[in-house]
Amino acid sequence: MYRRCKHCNAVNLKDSLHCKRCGGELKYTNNLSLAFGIAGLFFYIPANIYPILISKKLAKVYSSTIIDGIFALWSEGDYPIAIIVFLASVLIPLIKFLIIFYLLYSIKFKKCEFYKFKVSLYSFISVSGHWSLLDVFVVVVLTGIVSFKMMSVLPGSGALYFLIMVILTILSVKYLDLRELGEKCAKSKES
Amino acid sequence: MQRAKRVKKGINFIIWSIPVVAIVVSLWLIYKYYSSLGPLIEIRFENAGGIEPKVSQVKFRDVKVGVVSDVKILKKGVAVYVRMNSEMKDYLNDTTKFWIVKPTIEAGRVSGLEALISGPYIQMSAEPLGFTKTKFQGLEEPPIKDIKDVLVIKLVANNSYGLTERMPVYYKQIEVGSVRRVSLKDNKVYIYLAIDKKYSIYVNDTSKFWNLRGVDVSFNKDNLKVELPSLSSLIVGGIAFDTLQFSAPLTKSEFRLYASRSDAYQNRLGRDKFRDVVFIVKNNQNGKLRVGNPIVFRNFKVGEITYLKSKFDINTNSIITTAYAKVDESAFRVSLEDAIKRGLVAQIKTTFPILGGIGIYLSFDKPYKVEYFGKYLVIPVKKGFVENRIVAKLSEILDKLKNLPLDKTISDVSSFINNLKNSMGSFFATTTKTLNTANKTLKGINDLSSTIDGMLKKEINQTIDNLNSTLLTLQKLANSYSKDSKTYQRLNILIENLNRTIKVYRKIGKQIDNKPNSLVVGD
Repeated sequence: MYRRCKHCNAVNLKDSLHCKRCGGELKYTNNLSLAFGIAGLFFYIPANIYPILISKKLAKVYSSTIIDGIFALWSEGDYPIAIIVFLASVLIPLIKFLIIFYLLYSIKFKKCEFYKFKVSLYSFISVSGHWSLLDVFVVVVLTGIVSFKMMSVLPGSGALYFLIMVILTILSVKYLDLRELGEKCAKSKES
Repeated sequence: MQRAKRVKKGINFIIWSIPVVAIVVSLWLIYKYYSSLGPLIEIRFENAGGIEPKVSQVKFRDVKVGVVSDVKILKKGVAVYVRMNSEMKDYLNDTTKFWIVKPTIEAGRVSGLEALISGPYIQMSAEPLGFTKTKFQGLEEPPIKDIKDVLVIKLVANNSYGLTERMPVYYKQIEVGSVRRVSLKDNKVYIYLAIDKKYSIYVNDTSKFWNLRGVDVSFNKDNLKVELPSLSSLIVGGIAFDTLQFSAPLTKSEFRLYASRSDAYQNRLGRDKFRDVVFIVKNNQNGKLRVGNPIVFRNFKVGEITYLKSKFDINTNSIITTAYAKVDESAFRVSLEDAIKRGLVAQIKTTFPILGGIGIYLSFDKPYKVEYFGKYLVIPVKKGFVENRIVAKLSEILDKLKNLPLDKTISDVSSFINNLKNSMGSFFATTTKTLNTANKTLKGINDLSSTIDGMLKKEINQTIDNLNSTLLTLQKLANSYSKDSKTYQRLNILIENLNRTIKVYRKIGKQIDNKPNSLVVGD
């Protein structure tokens, strides 16, 4: 059996510790993924309690968190948009954390049940990862467009924490190495 | 190998420092967020007055100290939930008051302009006495006592005279404060004034307050005086006061608000402790009684008729009028019951001939019994109607005089005076003749008067005396005209000026008739 080097993609023998081409370590490690996952999870809380958008109309200052925005959209009857924002900004990040930790748990303890399902979960989080930046994108666009004397939109501190959270989850997914689980499960199937 | 291990350890340290830093930062952020959250308080108002959740602020000394988080409609009124800043905790106690500030535009002034742009906000006032309450009852109007640096004066009046909040208060035509509240309680109008602290030394027990709006016309024996307030105060209204003694102490808790300046400084007998009484009048002059007719005690007005009710009695063929009136009890120094026991009695008489009406005159006579009509005290009324014939005649003459074209007369007088100097000589001679004749006539009248009843005679005598003195004055005047032409010229100029002024006033009068708003808006 062979093992692909994650640095230079050279194919090495499974048992070798270092890559024959670049000398990089061949051992699987998911520590970085776990570290980013935990860090991201903790930024999820300030991202939701701090306002992400501060709009100024004349002398009125209106600062809204993500949840406030969703409620505002819902109460104004924009149900589809409210649902999309809720999914993209609240639910999907949360589901992603759950998936990341579930996969890491599976790798650590060699849980081989629903292996194919786990693979599809992995592809889901690696594809959907950057879609969570939708909120940040909206804030940035609004800040750029709505900037008048009478009315302006400013990003709140929540937007920054949200951005950090999304970047950390993307990194976490990037460093999540599902091959270890596959190898282990293949091994258990063989034996 | 060892080196690699060390490197690996270093990498591991870096890896695990990421979540540690993230945890520390996010925990700190969470702590910061929750520590800045003050208590959530509930304020109840009758209506929310445009307060919006998440937008409207709570201000304390013009600093934002909280944000409205929610507004809920209750069965009665609304509940406004406010997230206060945590440093305001100590200010939430029994001394805390909340009220909604809205922009208001009233005659002459605009207030709460900032609320016009930022929307209404909740104003708060409190003392830092610790955190004890989270539920508050909001005030519908700003509290009076909480305004700093003002002296609050309470005025009592029978009428609000159209005064409203924020109308100015003047002292010697300088704006020194404003009306804070006008309220109606126990059928009396209470007006609260806020006088600036720096002017509060001018208010003391000798101060008198009066309503500014309205033209002050005082008519008395000496002169006719028309006092017009400044145009702005005529439009805006307000209250003025004056103080007799500058250094007197301030001990009064409430002052009376007079209708006008002349009302404030009228020579009055009592202290306006009015009491409702009833006069039951039975004579044929009842129909002349009017609401508002005065009740007079030795030339002092001590009250007025407030309500009249008449019925015809077929049996006695007379009309019985029940006149409800308010009489100043303090004018007699004793209670009205005691006054009746000592002989207080009323009589219907003709009042001042010019006014043409009749009034109720009080006097002391023999003791009477105290009676009540319902809950009203009955003041006994002497039978009969005293109609002074000379007074009646005089009033007729005055009526005619009233109908005379005055300005024409004045111009006539002016031309007459122009001719006066020339014809002074002959006029003087005629005057002497006339005087002689008048003297003779007077003698005749004197003889005649002895035959008329005593009272009439007295009156006539008085009138004759007056006539005599008037004639003497006329004579003196005539002498002075002929002797000193300067006075005469001055009089001439004065009359001309008067003529011109009257013409101007007539023009203004016409203008106002045609376009009443032209005075304010301009043509």
